[in-house]
Amino acid sequence: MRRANSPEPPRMATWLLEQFSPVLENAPLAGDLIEAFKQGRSASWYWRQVFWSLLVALPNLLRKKWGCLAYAVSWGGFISAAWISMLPIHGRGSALPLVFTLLAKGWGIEWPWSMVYQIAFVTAFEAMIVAFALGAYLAFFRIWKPRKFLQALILVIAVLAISNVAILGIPDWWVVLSIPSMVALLLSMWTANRGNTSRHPS
Amino acid sequence: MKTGHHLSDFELIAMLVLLRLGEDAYGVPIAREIEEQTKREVKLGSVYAALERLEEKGFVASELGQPTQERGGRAKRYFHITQQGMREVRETRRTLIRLWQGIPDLKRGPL
Repeated sequence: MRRANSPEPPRMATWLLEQFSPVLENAPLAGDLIEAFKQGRSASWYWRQVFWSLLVALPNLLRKKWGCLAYAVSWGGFISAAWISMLPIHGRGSALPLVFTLLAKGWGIEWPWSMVYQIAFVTAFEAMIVAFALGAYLAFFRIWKPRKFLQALILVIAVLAISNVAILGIPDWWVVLSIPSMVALLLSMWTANRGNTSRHPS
Repeated sequence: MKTGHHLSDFELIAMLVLLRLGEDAYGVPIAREIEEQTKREVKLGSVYAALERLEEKGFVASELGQPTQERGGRAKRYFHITQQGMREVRETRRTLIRLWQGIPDLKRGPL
């Protein structure tokens, strides 16, 4: 299929490619996709290639970056355990929902804004721990750069906020509680480490 | 009996394409040549995955070119076959020829 209109590849796909370049660990591949698109490939071809490239990169990623993955899984598990200990699951009582309700009422927040407030609270709590984990990772490998840290932190907050909204629709949501934090931490580590060709901490 | 690495179909195709392309073997022409020869859409991610496996086996080597504007400021990665890779291709060719020689004419057979 050949393209007849836009000379630039789909922005969203390119953005994904940019975000996941550290996952691909292969800037020339991203360059090849852009070059092929500019030579006349279609937008659907570009999207297929981007998704497939990310999919194919995953096994390599698991093999090469097992240290990062183990680190993210550990922190995700820690955050998950912290929440599970505080939340009322399977009839187990907890003061946390009551605290949420009282604070929301005290500040005059009614539903549905109380729900937004709750998601924001949960996201902020998780983001704080992920930010600490990210900072420790960057400091340990001496790749600390405030601007990159802030960029990564914005990504963390976006991933956590979107995930926390999505998780509300899952019946046994507490089972997947560790996944958003884990994904957010992994992505932020790669984002903060992007362009750093001299160090590739496993 | 020899032991060691074996080439998958796709790896062998990729190596033959590297031989056909010579010095201009980077992602875009490699994928295009494979598509033209196999008449199937090729995923660049799969091409890179195969070439990286071949590089780990020592059959292929790669080097980076200069970044260009038309590629969003990204460099090309040029691939070429190593001496070890050439030996493997020749050995695979000999094996395939031996296997084909033992098979009756497909046009007249039950297949």
